[in-house]
Amino acid sequence: MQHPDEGTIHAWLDGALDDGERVAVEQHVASCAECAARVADARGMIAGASRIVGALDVTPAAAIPKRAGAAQPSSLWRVLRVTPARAALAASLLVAASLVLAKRHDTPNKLVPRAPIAVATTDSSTVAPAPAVAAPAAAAPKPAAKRVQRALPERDTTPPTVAAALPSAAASSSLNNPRARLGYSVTRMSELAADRSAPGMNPFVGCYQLGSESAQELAPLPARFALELSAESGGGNRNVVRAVTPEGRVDSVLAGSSWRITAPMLSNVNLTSPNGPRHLNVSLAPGGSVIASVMTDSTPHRIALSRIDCRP
Amino acid sequence: MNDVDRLFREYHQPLVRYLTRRLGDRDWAEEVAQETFLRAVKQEKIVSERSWLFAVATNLVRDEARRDIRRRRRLELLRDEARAEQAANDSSDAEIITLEQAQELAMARRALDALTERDREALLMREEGLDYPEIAAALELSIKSVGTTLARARRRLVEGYETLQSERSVAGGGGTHAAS
Repeated sequence: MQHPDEGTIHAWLDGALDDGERVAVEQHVASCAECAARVADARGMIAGASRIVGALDVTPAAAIPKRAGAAQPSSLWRVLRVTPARAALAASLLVAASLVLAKRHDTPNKLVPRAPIAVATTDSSTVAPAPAVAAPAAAAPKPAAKRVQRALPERDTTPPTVAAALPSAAASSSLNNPRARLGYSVTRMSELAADRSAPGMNPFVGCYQLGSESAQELAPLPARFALELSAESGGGNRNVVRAVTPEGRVDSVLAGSSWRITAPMLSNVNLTSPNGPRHLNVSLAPGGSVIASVMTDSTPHRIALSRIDCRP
Repeated sequence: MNDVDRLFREYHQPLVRYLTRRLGDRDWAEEVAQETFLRAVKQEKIVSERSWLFAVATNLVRDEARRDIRRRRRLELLRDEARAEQAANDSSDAEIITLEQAQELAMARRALDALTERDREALLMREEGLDYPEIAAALELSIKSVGTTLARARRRLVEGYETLQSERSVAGGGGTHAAS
């Protein structure tokens, strides 16, 4: 037979060919090196796509807060219910204008700039230790099947746990203390929503200050923290907003100064603090409270931001 | 009723998972699944059940997605805020995910959303174990074109994801660098 096309190869690998076709493909591939390579490539695509789709199954606390006794509905009839909360929400007319986060179903072929990071943490000032993860696979493209093997780092499948003791690290001692207060406050979404500058805009657009409430509480900033603001919609769809300094530069913000969040865009920001360059992770937790965290090694430490008035 | 119960037991979970991956929202997925099963209840008889269920669910999503997206977003935000308030009162045993997982989730979401609707649906159905005839029936494709569709969807997903990964590493790693 002629070289099978990509669709036929996938159909073969998916076991969807009838016997006649299947045998023909098998025999051809056995004797054609070029097609054998394409089969290997296809296998990689199938496995890689499967893993990427699987990555969607991680569900941060946002979408479904765990409650004791909340089990999977075991029959249709338990599922068919309208919870009081849903009814209330549906019925209430909120004057707060619609909070339109980045559209999700845009032109399908374009990558909508949206990819976010949100770390859901508990409300205490303890931190969630990142389990020792394999080095992220920012590998250069490898040939054919190998390439896809590196597409996702191997992730341990142990269920995430609530913050436990921090791993001891070489970083400065105050940051290893889970209860170390870094002296910043948290702004809740309701305040953010009320504060937004124009109806229909992203509710997290506005001005923020990274600053301390009292000089005594201010702990030394860690060596590195990266800034990325993310906004999480109720749908678990997260958008990252860009942080821009008053001067308009994206990549340098004075810790303790204010900066403006503009439209949702993915961005990393370096902060410049009196101690030198810093990176601060900022995220908007489910429910909309603004949280910043600082990474030392791979451990996030939580800080928070204060919402302030935008100055013209 | 027995029949519907069986239908539900067999297909509810895969359907919800398919919808959750498709929509990125578990609650919304559950709603659509509810609606789908309600319609199944009204059917006299369904030949090729899995295909039928996935087809109905897919069409429901398509219709809704076009219509209601902004209103839904607002309600979702409100719902989550209400939830967060409540959760703050309970002792929270919220599941914590690592930054790494969150990043992967985000990139997977973006890469998947970059596919065309049909490619995305075909791929997600395949991931739920639907075979080619079922996918063909659910999406009104010829069986021949299911293979081509899946091949294209998988390739674009993987390549899209890899692009996002390399963009991320160029941009500075998103905060997962170890302190130097």
